[in-house]
Amino acid sequence: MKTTLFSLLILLILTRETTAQTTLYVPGSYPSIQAAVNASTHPLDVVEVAAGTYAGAINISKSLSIHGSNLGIAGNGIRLAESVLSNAKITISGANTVTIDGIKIFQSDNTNDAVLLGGSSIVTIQNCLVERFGISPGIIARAITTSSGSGAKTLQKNLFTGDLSGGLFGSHKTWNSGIYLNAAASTVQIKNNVFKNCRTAINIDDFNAGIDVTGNEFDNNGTHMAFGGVVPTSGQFVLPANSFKSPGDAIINLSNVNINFRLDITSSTLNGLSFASYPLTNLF
Amino acid sequence: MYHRGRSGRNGLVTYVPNNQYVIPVNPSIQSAVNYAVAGHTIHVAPGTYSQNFNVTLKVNIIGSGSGSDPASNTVLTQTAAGAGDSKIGVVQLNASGSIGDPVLIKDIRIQPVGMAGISVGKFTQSTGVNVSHVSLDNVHVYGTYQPSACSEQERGLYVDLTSLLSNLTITNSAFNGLVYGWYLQKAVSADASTVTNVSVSNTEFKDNTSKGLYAEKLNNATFDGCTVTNNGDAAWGNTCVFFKPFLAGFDINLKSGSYQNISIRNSVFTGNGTGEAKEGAALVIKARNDAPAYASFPASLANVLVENCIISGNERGIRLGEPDKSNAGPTNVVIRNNAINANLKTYSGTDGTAYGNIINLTAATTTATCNWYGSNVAANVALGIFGPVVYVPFLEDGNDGNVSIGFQPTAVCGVTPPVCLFRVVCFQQGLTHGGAPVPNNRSILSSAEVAQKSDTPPINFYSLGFGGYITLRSNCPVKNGQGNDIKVWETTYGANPINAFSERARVYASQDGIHFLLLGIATYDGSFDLNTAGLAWASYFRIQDITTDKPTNPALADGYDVDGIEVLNGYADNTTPTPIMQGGASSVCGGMQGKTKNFSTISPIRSQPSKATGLPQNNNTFNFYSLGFGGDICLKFDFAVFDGPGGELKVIETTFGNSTCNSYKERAEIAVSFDNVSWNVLGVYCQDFAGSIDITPANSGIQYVRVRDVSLRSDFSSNAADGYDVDAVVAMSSFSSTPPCPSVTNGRIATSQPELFDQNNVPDEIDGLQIIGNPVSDQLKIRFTQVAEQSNISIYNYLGQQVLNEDHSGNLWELKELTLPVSQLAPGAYLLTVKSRGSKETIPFVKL
Repeated sequence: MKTTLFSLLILLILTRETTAQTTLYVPGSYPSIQAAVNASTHPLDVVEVAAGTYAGAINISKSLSIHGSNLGIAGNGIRLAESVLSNAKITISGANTVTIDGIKIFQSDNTNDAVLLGGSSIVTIQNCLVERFGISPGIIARAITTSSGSGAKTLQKNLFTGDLSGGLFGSHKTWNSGIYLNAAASTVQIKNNVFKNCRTAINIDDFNAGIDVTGNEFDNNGTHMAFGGVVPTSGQFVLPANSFKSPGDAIINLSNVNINFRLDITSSTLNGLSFASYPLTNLF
Repeated sequence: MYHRGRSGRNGLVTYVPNNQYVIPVNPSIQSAVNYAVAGHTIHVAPGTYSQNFNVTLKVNIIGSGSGSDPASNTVLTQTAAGAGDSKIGVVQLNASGSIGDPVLIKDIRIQPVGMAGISVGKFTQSTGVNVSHVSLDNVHVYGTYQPSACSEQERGLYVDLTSLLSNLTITNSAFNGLVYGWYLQKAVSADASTVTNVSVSNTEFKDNTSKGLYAEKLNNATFDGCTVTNNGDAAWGNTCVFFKPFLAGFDINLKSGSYQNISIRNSVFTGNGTGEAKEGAALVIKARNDAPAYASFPASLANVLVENCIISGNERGIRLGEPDKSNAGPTNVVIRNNAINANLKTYSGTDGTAYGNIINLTAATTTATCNWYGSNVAANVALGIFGPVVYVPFLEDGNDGNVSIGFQPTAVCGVTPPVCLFRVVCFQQGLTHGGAPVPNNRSILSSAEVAQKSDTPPINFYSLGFGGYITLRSNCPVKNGQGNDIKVWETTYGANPINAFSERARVYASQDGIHFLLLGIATYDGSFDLNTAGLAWASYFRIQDITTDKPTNPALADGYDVDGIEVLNGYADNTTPTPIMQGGASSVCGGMQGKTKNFSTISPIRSQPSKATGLPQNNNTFNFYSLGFGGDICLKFDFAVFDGPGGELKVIETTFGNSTCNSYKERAEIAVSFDNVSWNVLGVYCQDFAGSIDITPANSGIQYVRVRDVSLRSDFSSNAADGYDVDAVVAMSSFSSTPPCPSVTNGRIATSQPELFDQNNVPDEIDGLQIIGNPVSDQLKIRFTQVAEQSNISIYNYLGQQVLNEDHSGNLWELKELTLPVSQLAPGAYLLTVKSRGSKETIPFVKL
């Protein structure tokens, strides 16, 4: 009996040692983020990325967190030297829980989706500066793209911005979409972000009650929000409070919605004022 | 644009609670209506919308404007084919509002093609829709301006056979270019549907090919400030033989029901029902009870008011009742304060019923008093009235007090305007050439009170006699208008030549009958402008004969024959007196101050000529003008001073103390003139003369007085003595309100023959040719009266050589004053010759 109990204790000790949370330092311990990701063995592991620029694709198929030098500092806040993921297409797949916090995602190439979130993944991306200065104009480059699936997504306190030199429309060099909710994402929270100088800040296909867009600031995007889908979106929705500033073209683009689609944005403001204070010529 | 859509898709964004926003690339007003809940407002952006929509709940639909440019206006276009149903309207009303919260359609342009603009129910059907409390504000419905081929396709507002529309308010809207602006249809049945409680203001019904408005049911309706023009007129060439006979502006043809209270106010009806409309009219109001079609379900209409409208230039004005049907109503029709005139037949056929301004074909008498019918002659007015119509009194003029709002008459209705006429208030007849009284038949005063303007016998004038005068008073103040204001007619049998002996008279005008101002000289007839005397109006006119009595005249020659005075510009309303300096002379017209006894210059304080004008101070202050020994002053009155009983002038001298002439012999010669050219000396008066000076009949009508010092230096001891001191010259008649009229009876007091124009013994050829100042130095000033429009002036030296020749033009009998340059002439004697239309006069002058 004693032997048995001892053996169990040893087993428990060994088990705890093999699943211990670890911080993986890049580039201190690992030359690349992908190497650190690969080395991670615990869902609570943290890949801590020092200030500097890192290239190369990142594929994440396990649960972990990636922390940059601006951990906890909002994308539009006063930030330190950045941990820059340059043209590093990030793909998160599987039913894993991933958090990315405090890094800068920079893109200049023609990659379509800088961050691609799998449908079942549970992802939080926060406090990131997401910036594009494309070398080619008019590229359909999306900063964060979601796929259909049940995994909850939380995108908050980020700054999505880019190069204005190509304008906000056909020749743009900035993000074609800051966030693109492609197909029926079930639970998405887009909260307290700043979208500035994007072709379209948010494209939402298949808008549904599980998508919460709250407290964001939209400033000088070609279109602040566009709704639609392969199947025209139906339903009546109330958009929570957001702050809109004058757009390049439209606040709301009803590109592919059904005849029944209604969107009530009366809780939001335009340039700090309620829409009721604007003449009709502004609201049409 | 703050939200965008994609063609073929829909969806709406709500920016403000309870408000929808529709844009043209996402075109679905209907979807906005469907999504809305009662009370919502649907805003429609500028653009063109090819759609119709059904208002199924109480909403406000507000466009961006009713103009034609879709860049800034909301334009709804639809065709019957596009709508799929030609019986509905582009906007279908199927919802009601409430008191104070109507269904509102505002700032929208609707352009139906082959269908209605706004409909309640379906065309020619009996849907029984019940809609109430609807408001249209700045809604313009425009058709295609195409004449109907009897299909009645385009109707601005349509209500079907059994539908009810109540509490309809329309403002600032238009129903133009359609077949019917409105078409309110009613079944001849027991159905009780109607269109009631209607208020329409500032709305157009124009260029509709058949009718601006056609109503078979209408109750409690008011149209105010509407424009109804060119509906069913010839320009549209309506080819439908069914419609053509009855083209009209408004055709209210009520059927099956009891209706009341239709008012049309402050509106304009022009150009309606013209061309080939047999029964065309501007406004037709009928309550059909005629058998057999309407006898079972007759209509009645009580209380119709048409006021302050302009109804002119139509085929007919207002017609009540259906032709040849003897309808009982409408009853209690009042038509007042309108201008209903010039509604003349243009139909080429002869089978139309009565024409005119008001045609009442009903059994009920219509009250249509106080309208302007284009004439103030009752017989002419009657020509435009047909049937039982009370039209007297009518307005006697068509003056419109506010041209922007219908017709606002300024004439007072029912008050007979005063008969303006002249009456003789004063006269003094002269004698004939033979020195006898003028014959009785030429001395009837009343003959001068009305101008026959004819030289045809019998005698109907008043002969002034040589030097005589007559004063006529108009009981209405004669207005100073444009150009001449009066014409004095003289009776001369035959076309006598105009020459120096032509019958002529000076004509004066006065506001108070005391102060008369010269208007000019009439030779035979003469026209005068009150402006000449600066008078805004005048009531008194004095005509004074100044005919030169030719030696060869027959014994009965009796001067100017007054036929009468014609008023050319009407009468004045405002009779504020034109200021005249009462009594005293008003201005200085010349003179030269003399010197003191020892030939020194008189002190400045006594040397201001203006001190002699105005009324006297009658005190011993330095408020006078010293003439100086041998000096003189010319003073002018603002008015004419006529001779009357006793003296007319008083000359006031200032003498410090009350010295008599025996001890202080300042004396002055007083002369008078009517023209400041010819002077007549009245006498010499010393400073203590307190009486009045009689200007004598020979000088009646003077305006100038010359006071010339004739004191003797030897009568004064002081070297500073400076002659006569003029305080003032006043006209005594001015101090009383009695006109200077010696008598109002024909006393035939002889007057001496005036020779004021004669400067030499040669009969005048050129009236009043004068040289002002002779000898002359550098300039030769002459004065004469034009006897023709052209005059020639020449100067000859003593050798008969012409040294100057000029042509001048002017108005006939205009008094001309010219200054001719003669500085280049050598000193010597010259002859001035003036020629005009065969008349000629030559007078000499000396060049220094």
